[in-house]
Amino acid sequence: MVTASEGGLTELRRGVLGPCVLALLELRPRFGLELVRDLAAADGLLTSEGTVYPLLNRLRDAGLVTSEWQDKPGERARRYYSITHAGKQSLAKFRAEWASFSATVTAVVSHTTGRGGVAAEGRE
Amino acid sequence: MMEGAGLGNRLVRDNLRELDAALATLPTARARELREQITAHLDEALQPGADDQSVAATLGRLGAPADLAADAGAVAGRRTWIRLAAAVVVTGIEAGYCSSVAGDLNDRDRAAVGIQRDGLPTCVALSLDRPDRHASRFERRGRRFDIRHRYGHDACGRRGPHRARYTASRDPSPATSLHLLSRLRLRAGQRSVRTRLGLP
Repeated sequence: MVTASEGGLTELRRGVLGPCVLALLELRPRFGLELVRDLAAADGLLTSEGTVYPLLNRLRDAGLVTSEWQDKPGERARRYYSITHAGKQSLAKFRAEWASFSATVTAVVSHTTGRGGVAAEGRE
Repeated sequence: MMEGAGLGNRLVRDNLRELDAALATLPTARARELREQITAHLDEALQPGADDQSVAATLGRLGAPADLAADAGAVAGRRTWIRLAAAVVVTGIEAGYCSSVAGDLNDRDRAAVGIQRDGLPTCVALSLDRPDRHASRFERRGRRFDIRHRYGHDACGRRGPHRARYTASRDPSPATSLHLLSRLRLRAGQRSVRTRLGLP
């Protein structure tokens, strides 16, 4: 049975996977499996590798990512994904919002909020 | 794309077949693209000559084809729309059928004669073996109507003559009311009869 916590984390992972893909592509273009392996290396971020591909297609449909086939000498032909200008803008916006959002969530779940809310109730 | 030996593995072939089936509800171009991405992923992820255990582990990390397809937006909804479209078509055909059968029944179908009461159509079972097949016989505005119905309403479980009121409140039997298609067909038939009789 999936607990509320597990379900919430799954949804959270889904929500942040797009910006994480954009962040990796911001460093350099990557092909599918490379991207999957880099994401899988970040502990707990990827629940199933296959989900990356529908996500890449959605990001491309949204104009945040482009893809092109590259046939480098000595390598197999691969489809490389790159971030677009709109993708970089979207990522920058997410970074700003995420910093604030994650700080708020951390404060609430660890009862350290400073506005007399959760923390104050916890101390009573 | 160059294909590695890993794609020839039985488990991979089964998995890709499953994926194809799961992607069937997606637009063709989108399904083809995802299929190509997954194939390329497996082609590169699987070592040549990988044993079944290793292949199964790779497929496990990839995720179930159905989940993948769901992520890509494949849903059963399209099939529902197809069913609905089919229901609309069948209803149209049925309405045409109900209109066309207003006339004399064939003698072999007429197992009993209906009784007209209060100007409302009377329903009779055509066959004791098939109480769901029944007919209405009545006259209205000097014209005789013998209507053979293919779908029952609440009274049609009885044997022998019984009355049938073509009103929505006495619509399908509990059994047929569970079946949308039957309900649509019946309503279309009833509408046709009501129209012919000039009933509200």
